[in-house]
Amino acid sequence: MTILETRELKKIYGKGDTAVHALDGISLTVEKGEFVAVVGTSGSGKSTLLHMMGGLDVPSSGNVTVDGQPLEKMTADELTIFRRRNIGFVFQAYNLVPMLTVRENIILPIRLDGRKPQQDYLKEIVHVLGIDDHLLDRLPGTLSGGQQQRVAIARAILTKPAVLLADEPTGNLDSRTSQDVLGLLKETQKQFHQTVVMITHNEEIAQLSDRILHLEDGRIISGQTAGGEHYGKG
Amino acid sequence: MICFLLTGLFWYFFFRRREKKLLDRLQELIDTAAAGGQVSDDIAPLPRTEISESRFSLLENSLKRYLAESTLSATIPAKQKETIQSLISDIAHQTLTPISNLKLYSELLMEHSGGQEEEIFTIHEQAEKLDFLIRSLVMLSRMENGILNIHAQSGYVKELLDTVSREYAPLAAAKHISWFCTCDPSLLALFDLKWTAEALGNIADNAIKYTQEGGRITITAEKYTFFVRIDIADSGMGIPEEEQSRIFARFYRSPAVSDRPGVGIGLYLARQIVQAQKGYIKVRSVPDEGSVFSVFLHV
Amino acid sequence: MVKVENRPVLDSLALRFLKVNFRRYILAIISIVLTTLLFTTLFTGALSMFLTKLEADKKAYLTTSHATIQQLSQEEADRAKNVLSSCDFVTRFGADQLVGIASDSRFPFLLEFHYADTAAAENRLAFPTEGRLPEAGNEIAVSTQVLDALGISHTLGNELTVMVQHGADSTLTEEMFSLCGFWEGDASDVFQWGWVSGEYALDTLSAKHDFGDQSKEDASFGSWTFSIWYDNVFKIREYSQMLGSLTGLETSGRTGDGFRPNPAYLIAFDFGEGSISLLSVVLLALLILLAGYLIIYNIFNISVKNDIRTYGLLKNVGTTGKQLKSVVRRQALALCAIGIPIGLPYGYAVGLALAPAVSTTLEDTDASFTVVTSAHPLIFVTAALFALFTVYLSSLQACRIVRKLSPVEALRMADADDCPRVFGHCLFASAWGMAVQNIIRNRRQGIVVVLSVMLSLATLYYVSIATGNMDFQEFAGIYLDAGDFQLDKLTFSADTDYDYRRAISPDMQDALNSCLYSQSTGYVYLAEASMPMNDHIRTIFENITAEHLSKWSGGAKQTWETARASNLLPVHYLGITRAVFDKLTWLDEACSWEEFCSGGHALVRRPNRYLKEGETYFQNGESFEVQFDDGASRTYTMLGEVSMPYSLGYPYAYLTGIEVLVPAKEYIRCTGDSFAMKALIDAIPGQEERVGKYLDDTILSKDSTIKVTSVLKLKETYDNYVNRYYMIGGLLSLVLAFIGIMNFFNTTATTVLSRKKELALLEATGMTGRQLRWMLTAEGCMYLGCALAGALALTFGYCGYTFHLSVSVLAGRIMLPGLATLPILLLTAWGIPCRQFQKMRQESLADRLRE
Repeated sequence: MTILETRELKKIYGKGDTAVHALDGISLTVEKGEFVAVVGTSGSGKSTLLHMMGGLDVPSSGNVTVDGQPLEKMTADELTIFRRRNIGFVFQAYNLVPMLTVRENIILPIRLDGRKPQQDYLKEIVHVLGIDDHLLDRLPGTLSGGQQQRVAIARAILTKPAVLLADEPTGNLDSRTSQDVLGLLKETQKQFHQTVVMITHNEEIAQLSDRILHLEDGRIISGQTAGGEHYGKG
Repeated sequence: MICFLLTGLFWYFFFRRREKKLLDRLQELIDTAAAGGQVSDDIAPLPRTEISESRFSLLENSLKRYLAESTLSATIPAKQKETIQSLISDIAHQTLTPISNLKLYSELLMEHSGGQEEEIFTIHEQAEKLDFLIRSLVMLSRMENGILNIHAQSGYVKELLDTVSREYAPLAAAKHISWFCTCDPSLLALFDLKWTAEALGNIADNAIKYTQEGGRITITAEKYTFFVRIDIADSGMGIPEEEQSRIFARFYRSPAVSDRPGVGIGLYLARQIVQAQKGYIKVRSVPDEGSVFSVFLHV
Repeated sequence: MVKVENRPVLDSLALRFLKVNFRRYILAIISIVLTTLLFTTLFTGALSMFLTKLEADKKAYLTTSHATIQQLSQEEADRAKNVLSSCDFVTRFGADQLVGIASDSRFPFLLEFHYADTAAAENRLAFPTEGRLPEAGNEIAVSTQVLDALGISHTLGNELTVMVQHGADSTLTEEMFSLCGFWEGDASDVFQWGWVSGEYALDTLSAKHDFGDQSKEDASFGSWTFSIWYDNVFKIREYSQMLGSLTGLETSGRTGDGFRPNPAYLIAFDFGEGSISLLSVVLLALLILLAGYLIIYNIFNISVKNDIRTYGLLKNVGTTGKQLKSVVRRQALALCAIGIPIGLPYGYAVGLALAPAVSTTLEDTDASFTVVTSAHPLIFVTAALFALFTVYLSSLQACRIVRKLSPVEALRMADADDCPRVFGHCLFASAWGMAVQNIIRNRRQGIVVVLSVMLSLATLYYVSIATGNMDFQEFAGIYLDAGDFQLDKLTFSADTDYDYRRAISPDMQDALNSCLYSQSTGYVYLAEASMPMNDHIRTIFENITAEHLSKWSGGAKQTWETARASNLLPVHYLGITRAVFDKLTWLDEACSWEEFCSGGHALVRRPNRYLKEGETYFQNGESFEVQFDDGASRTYTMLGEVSMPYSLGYPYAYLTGIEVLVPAKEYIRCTGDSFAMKALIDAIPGQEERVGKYLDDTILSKDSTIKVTSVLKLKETYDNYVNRYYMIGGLLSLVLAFIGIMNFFNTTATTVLSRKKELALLEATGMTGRQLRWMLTAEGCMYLGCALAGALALTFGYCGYTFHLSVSVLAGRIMLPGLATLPILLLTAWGIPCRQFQKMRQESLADRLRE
């Protein structure tokens, strides 16, 4: 089942001769439960692509469909609500809310919907991600980078989003911690059947995924496979 | 007083209307969800009707997410099965050539044997068995993956039965089993001649195998409204009732005949072939009296 | 549609933001407290002003009820009573009946005897606080004022003996009463009430008076007065008219127009064009709103901008713009919840303290008025609502910022830490140049700061210009248009006029004349006389009366009727001394005192505003005859027309008659009466206080009924008033200045902090701390300089327009406060940025660069 689809996605900054094509017609599909890595050098437009997929930014043309929902038809508030219910984000800079405790950070998207988190599921996630209980009541600022990123992952998957978008999740971490975080990301992806799209400039990290797309100058240059054909290897 | 009553009435209807509207929406939601839940993977999920802070929107979203999750969990075992099948298919394909070679060299050995005929014969026999097994597996896997094309066409049942008789009557005769085949030559049915013959042949082969010398095999055809029934009756050892449902399973071998050669794939294959033509097979059997395999083919 | 329950999480988010920004929000709370305080003070003061005026007016009109009807006959009274007791919009009414008038020279007031019920007694603000209203026999309840005048101790049961007049026939009877109740009287009350029992009223009226002859002047004896309270003060006029038609008494009553609304209420609720105070309340409220808005707006903007990254993160995680907006709004509400309850009581306290100041107007020279304050809940509700509204307005922009915040922008802010903005070409140009650049960069905040400081300065300047515009001479002229001291007498008895005219006895005149500190002393004598009308005079008055008579009161009408019938026009025969003569204003050519005294000459006062332009009673040189009451007469030659200072003349309107001025000697010779109506003293410059003391010692200590209008007292009142004006204005501009400086502080602190890295970079490139400080000070100076310029422009423009003053006059008045504020401004401009810079510099350069 296709969970995320982009069609002829373009993002152009500026006008006329000075126009920069950050994205130049990207069409791709991501199947449910898939782990896709988008690899590209900085400036290849990969972050922009991720932002478009998550509805953080608006494409110049083309469209994005997440879980059967075309994003371009939504108003800003609708998009935000949709995002908190269906899209999880993991950013390079963790982006935890500094004045909320770790626990509050994790359950924030759920609470914004007026729901109570399922304690068992929360415990399971926290356990799988190796977040110690005593960390839960601390402020994110007091945590190490790796810990913060794990909290960010927990926050992203607690809502059981349709797709989890990770933007250089290990960009701010040292290599040892990176391995930990990536391993946990992969593990949670498998355990909770999470669809993951990860952006990285590091080929080695990308090998963790089921499929790798190479992005250069706003275009996909390899790894593009037509939607659905992915499983028919024979 | 009247004013009070009117206000009350107004609120009553107001809330009733609201409740009704909400329930209608929920019903609609469940209905579309049910419809959407049954469709296969490839169809994209229906879009949400509303994205807002309302509880309804939240409920709808949760339901959609749940449906998507359950569809995914349903597809996972199917995918795993697929993987195993392709694995078997791979094995079968890859072993074909070595087995052929094995067979070839064992035959060569038999021709210029130097005293060890017994052992060489056994090797050859086992190679043949392996070959049969693998071929059956290949065939099976092709069929199950839909790679094999079975094209059912209208044809004379008589022709089908004759084809079978031509191959198996001599085998029966060799075992001193009498072979009777009777059929109305005008009887028509939908079948793929080659594959149906194979299926019937497997049944017949079975019958010959488990019927003692001097026994009898009778093949008859009868017309029903929608089907043509082909009975292959033998006077063999029969199948105990508790085993009757299992004999069509793959690799099933009755404990009673475990000493005899065979891999337990013939009946399975026969059923697969018949089912592929939208027909079916059933068996009636009384131990020590014989069995009747009935194959139903569409008219 | 049922919404998802995300209120708790928004609440907790708002709370966290509050905690994080607590230090900055303390400023916001202080601002909210101040705003609330100012609003509460304003409304308390305004209400106090309103109520005080209302009460003072009620006292002046001698009625506290909503409407009255006076002089009803017994039959009319019965009718009125029936209707009033059945009217549902009448909440209460009282009735009293005039029984008699005291005639006693010991009373410096008019004492009327009435039979009254409780409501009527309360209507006259004369309900016994000790004892009770009379019930039977010769019981009486009076004020302590009456008791004091009679020299009777304040003990219930005491006997009072008073001469009472029960009818117009002027026959007096000596009556004895026993005291059954009294209340604290007011020295300034010229009307006093003696409440008598119904029994007494019935006895006296039936015995002494033949009631029923309505045409007689004394019809008021035995007449009824009703005082009425309605359920809605805003409908007094309508209700009174309605009562008129219900009772059929539209044309009854003393003035012939039925039920009369209490003018005090009509004045109080007349919010028409003339009501300056309502307008000023609105203007002040706007000013407070603006001041509060500027600082709270700034604080909110700064804190939202500071936390913009966090807001962005929240938006990424899925907090909608609406939710973020409500997070900001919740913070604002929480701050209000702290600030407003603190501001309200303090505001009320300040309001109470200022109430006397704001309630006094220049006209209230009497100390008699009482300040009425109120703790009506509406004050607090309104003040709280205004404060809330101010905060709401202030948070609008902050709400807009978070609402419009784009998630990607927030991400970029999160990823790339505020890189220093690129400097233009003038990096090394000058501190001023860089300061200008910074100001342009922060122009929005800059405008807010400038406006805020400007507001305070402008208020201060306005106050000093406006007070400078007040003129003591002009003010004093209303009460004392001639001389430094004036003496006359307040005496009321049945024959009021007579005693008023005979105020200053010859003994007193001697005493006054011998005062060493006075430059000149003058007297005005007045006697009633008459003159036969010639055709010219008669025509003039015929014309005047034909046009105006209908508007005049009954007395004037009657006087004219009599005059017309007898052809004798009433004359005020005034004797004046040299000092008064010198105060006269001549309408044409002046003549000398000697000429005036040479005998047979008289002047005619021209006060009659009904005279047409160019019309005179007599030509110069024309002769006319004045007839005195004793039958004697004298002929005078007209010497000229003059106008006399108002305060020296007869204090009441003199409509039908001519005022003739002769020398004092001539007056005394003709009338044989040497009692003067008024005395006028001009002190030797600088000796006013001694004269005042002399008057206290020699005159007032002997006769307390003499009323002295003194330039000293007026000066005191005036100074008080001006000082209060200064105080209120100063206080207001002080609070505004505080707000302005807070704003400046806040803005400077944040701009310095937000430019931490940039400043560090400058320092690293070789700018010394001194240069940086200079740059920051230059920035501050520019802000405050703009504010100063703006304030000057505003005050000059506004005051020049409203007071019609020239620029040089304005500049002169602003000079002092302007010079006084300049060092404060400079200190602020230098101190605050430097302090912030110093604080920032505590971190090492490397640390600051790294951030």
